[in-house]
Amino acid sequence: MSECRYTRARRVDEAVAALAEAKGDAHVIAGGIALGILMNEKLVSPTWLVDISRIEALKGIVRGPDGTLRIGALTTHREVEESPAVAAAQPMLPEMAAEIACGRIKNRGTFGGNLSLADPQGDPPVAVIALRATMRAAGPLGVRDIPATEFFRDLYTTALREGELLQEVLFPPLAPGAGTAYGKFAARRAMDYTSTVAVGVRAVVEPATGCIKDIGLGLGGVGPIPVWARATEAALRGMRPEPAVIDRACDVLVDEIEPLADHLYSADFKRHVATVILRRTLARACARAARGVEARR
Amino acid sequence: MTASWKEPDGEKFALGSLAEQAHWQGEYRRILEAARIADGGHPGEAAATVGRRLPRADVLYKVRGRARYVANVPMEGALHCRFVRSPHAHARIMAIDTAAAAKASGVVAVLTGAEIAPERLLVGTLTDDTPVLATDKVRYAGEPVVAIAALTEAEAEAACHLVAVSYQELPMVLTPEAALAPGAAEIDPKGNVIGDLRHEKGDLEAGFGAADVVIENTYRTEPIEHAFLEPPAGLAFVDPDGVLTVMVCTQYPHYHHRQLARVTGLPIERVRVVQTVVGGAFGGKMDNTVECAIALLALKTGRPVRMIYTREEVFVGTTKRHAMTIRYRLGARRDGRITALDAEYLADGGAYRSYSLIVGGRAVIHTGMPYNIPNMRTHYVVTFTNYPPSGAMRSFGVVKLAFAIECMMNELADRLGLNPIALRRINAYADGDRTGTGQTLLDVGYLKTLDAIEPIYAERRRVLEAEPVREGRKRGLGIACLGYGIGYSGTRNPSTARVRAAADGSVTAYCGTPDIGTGSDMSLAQIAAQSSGIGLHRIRVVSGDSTKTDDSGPTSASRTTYFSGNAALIAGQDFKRQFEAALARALALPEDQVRLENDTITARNQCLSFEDACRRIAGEIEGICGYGKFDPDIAVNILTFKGNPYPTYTYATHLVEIEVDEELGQIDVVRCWCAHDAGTVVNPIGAEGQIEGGVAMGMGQALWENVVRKDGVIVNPHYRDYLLPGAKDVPLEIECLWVASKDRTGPYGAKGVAEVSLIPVPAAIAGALTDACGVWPRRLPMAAEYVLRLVRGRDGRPLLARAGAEGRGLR
Ligand SMILES: Cc1cc2nc3c(=O)[nH]c(=O)nc-3n(C[C@H](O)[C@H](O)[C@H](O)COP(=O)(O)OP(=O)(O)OC[C@H]3O[C@@H](n4cnc5c(N)ncnc54)[C@H](O)[C@@H]3O)c2cc1C
Repeated sequence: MSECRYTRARRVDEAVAALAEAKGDAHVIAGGIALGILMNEKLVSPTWLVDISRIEALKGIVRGPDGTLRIGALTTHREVEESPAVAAAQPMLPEMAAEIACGRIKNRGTFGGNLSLADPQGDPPVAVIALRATMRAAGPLGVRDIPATEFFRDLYTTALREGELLQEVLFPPLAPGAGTAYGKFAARRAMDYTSTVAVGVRAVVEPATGCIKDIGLGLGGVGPIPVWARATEAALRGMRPEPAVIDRACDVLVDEIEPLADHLYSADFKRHVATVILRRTLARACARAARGVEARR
Repeated sequence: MTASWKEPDGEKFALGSLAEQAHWQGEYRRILEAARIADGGHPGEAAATVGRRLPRADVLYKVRGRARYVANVPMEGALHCRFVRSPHAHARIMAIDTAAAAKASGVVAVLTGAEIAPERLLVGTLTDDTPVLATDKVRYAGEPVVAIAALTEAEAEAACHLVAVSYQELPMVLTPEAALAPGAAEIDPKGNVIGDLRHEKGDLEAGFGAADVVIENTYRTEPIEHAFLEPPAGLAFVDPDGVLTVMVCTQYPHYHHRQLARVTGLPIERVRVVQTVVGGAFGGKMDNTVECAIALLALKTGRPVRMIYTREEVFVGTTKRHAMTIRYRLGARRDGRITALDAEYLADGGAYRSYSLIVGGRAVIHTGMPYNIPNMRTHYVVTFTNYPPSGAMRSFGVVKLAFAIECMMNELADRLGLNPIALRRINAYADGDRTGTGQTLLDVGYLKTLDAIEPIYAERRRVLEAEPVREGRKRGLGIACLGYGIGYSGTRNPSTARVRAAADGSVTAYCGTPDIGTGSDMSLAQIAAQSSGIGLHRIRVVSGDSTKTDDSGPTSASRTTYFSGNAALIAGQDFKRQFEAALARALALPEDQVRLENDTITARNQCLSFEDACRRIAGEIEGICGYGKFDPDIAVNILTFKGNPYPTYTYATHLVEIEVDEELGQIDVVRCWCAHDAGTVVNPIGAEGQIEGGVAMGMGQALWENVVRKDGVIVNPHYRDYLLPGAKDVPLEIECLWVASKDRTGPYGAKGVAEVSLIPVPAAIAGALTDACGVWPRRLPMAAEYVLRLVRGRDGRPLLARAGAEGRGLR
């Protein structure tokens, strides 16, 4: 049986110091859900665990005076789902968190742990991409900001460097006229963490013309990493969400994503599903944008 | 060395010692009394317990975490066993080197098949063909090769990695078609065919000659996992009397008892198998898994040995439902009367025989059920393949037959422009009809189940016609029916029961068929209470202990209520007779003046409580043993399939309502109505539980469940990827409709309900999909991609249509 060292960090700098000392041999543990599974399946046998779960500075949800929403890495999915501050600032997030697994996972799993894991099936990555969040990392050289669109690099690989922690996620305020929506396909209503397809849409609609001024599209489950659908965004930006435009965007999306076939579905089926979920989610986001504009009038 | 094991004094091990039980029993009695009164009973009245809604005796133990699963049985010094399993689907074993493992930390013993005498090595069900541990070759990936007992599970597991087995790979045979192909690698020394069964009735050609319509289709189903929550688990030790005791979660303790005596070479009376609480079985706990290995290791080490499968082992190392290809050709006249059915089956039996032949026999007998088809030909072939053995699973394959025949019936109704219920009525079995085996049917309640469903169908049809699409989802109705034989197919399978009382007025009923979580102990107590006149609250049922009960067969094949229920009924009557006679002697009264009824004794003109009466005959009471044996004369010639294969049949019709998202291929089952002819329902709470569970299980098979196999391995051996319905998937409304029916041979008219509630579910969902979308499913599971492909096929569009070309836009 291999021995495993365990450090319970109380402050960010303690955790960072431990990671530096471990020189890449340590694993950060937050909610421990993903890590626990990997250890049970013997895919990971850590020799050093750095427990960050007691670091107060990584907890909490704050809305700054400029409207920026900051979510600490240790915030649970449940807290994201139920926080009034989150709902007011970024209504996509509770909608997204509601789609995660079940109560037990939501109570334990952390926002930061989920993002650091970078599971292509994960939901928070889809949202941070669509909402153009900023990932703030703490490391030996201090803090560093990484745009969400550049955070997910490879299968289970993020832009975090050795010895870095994800400290918090910053969401810029939604522009006037923005509507957001989150949509997910899963085989069952019961929790699924396999073969799901998720789409997060942030659409800013110009009230006068009905044109999509700006758009953010994140997708999950359609490739080895959470996907920023840039080309599809480009196909929609500046356009009115009319049938022909959306049809063209769907064609772009089909080419932009490379879903993996698995034991349940073929890659083409997932492509098709992605277009259906995109249509439906985009429709909801645009409708909300319109409603939001009406409400503000 | 023997285990320092002191058996608790409770007679039913699974529920703990008498002292442990006392508290729960008291609490339970209060619940029972309240339930009885709520159900219209009178306070203190004890008789007429059959038909009452009664909570079962074990619920309190289970909900409070007190039930004894193998994993929770305390046992000092128990070793832990793990298997080294084959990584290859088909390979010759060249050498096994266990030296390093034997020296590893914590390892107490290593067992290989070579240590077991060849005549003791093989176990099985009908045929002993499965080695306890593989010796010369492995026939599926996951087959056990070496067993290691160590101080901890982790040490046993670590030592497994130190065993070096050298294999020479053999060509894999992965489908029945490949197994039958000329030149196929041989899996079994007797060839690749496990069974080739044929049956004919009437004149097939004449039948097709008389037909106005002929439909021919092929249906395919995938292997299914039982998905019991508690994995196979056992604990073996030698008790202080020198008896090899194996505690195990099983459907059939007596089977293991016989097998263990043979494998260990111990005399039959030096073996005991005690059933622990079973956390689900569904046919998957009737074969040897852990039992023989842990028993041999317990004997070898002189220490208790425990083994609990991991979830992955459950997938790769236990039996599966057969994958099956069914080709049906059905002929019918314009008026809807079916004239001929030609049925061909090809089933994947996996690496060993297990229950393959029993599944096959049942398929032959049930072909065409519940329809009276004058001309039939049935050909059933099941072959070996290099996958885990296919075995028994809820309904022994009939769920797949129902999928095929009911889909054909829907297609026929569509072709002929007939209402699906009307078409079924035209062809339904009724009293006095003769089945394919020549059996004359009695007490056929099939039409009554159609009667119960028809008005609901008509009403829902009106609702759906008014609103065929709801929130973008297409709505559909589907019905499916079944007839199902109770008990073993075509061989005698008696049950026995005993009823005894003690001077303190406590009563114990003994029965060989164990309660595997269905509540059968409760139903048996109800029946014994009713026939003996003893109050239900006094009766404790002891079942599932191979030394305390007779072999009464397994709890399977929906047979417990009917077979063991009849035995309990006879035993109760026998007890009553002996008890009244003994009391009459003690009171110096003529026998006909002493009556045990309603838990009280009337002796001429005095009334005695049951306790008082027991005290009066204290010297004699231990000698009274009510005995009941039920052994109907059933037999089928396995060559001609002529005879009476089952003592009775149960029938049902299910109606489901679904909603389909045609763009995604997703089906939601929103409501389900289940009309059953189960005869008298002994305990409606238990029966409803069976129906609700059957609907959930059937939904799983219909929509998601599939043991996906590729190149000799199972690719989804865990619940993340093997999709079962969850609480949010199962319809909120599952309505049970018990039709008025009594079986003249059943205990108080009861038949049985356990497996049947599953059988029509996939077929009914398939029918509803046809109704909603106009597509004809021919495969299970009807997963989203499959449904979408059907819908796209209907519209002549490819799966991945370029949206631009179609111009659909935002919706
Ligand atoms: C049954 C099941 C269903 C699930 N369904 C969903 C679902 O539907 N949608 C979904 O999105 N997720 C789902 N999940 C995943 C679950 O949400 C994640 O596992 C969880 O959020 C991970 O968080 P954690 O706090 O437990 O992470 P941990 O297990 O503690 O950590 C995960 C990884 O991230 C690293 N890490 C953790 N925190 C940090 C940090 N602050 N900085 C740097 N690295 C860090 C760890 O070292 C580890 O490698 C499911 C999980 C299960 C078991």
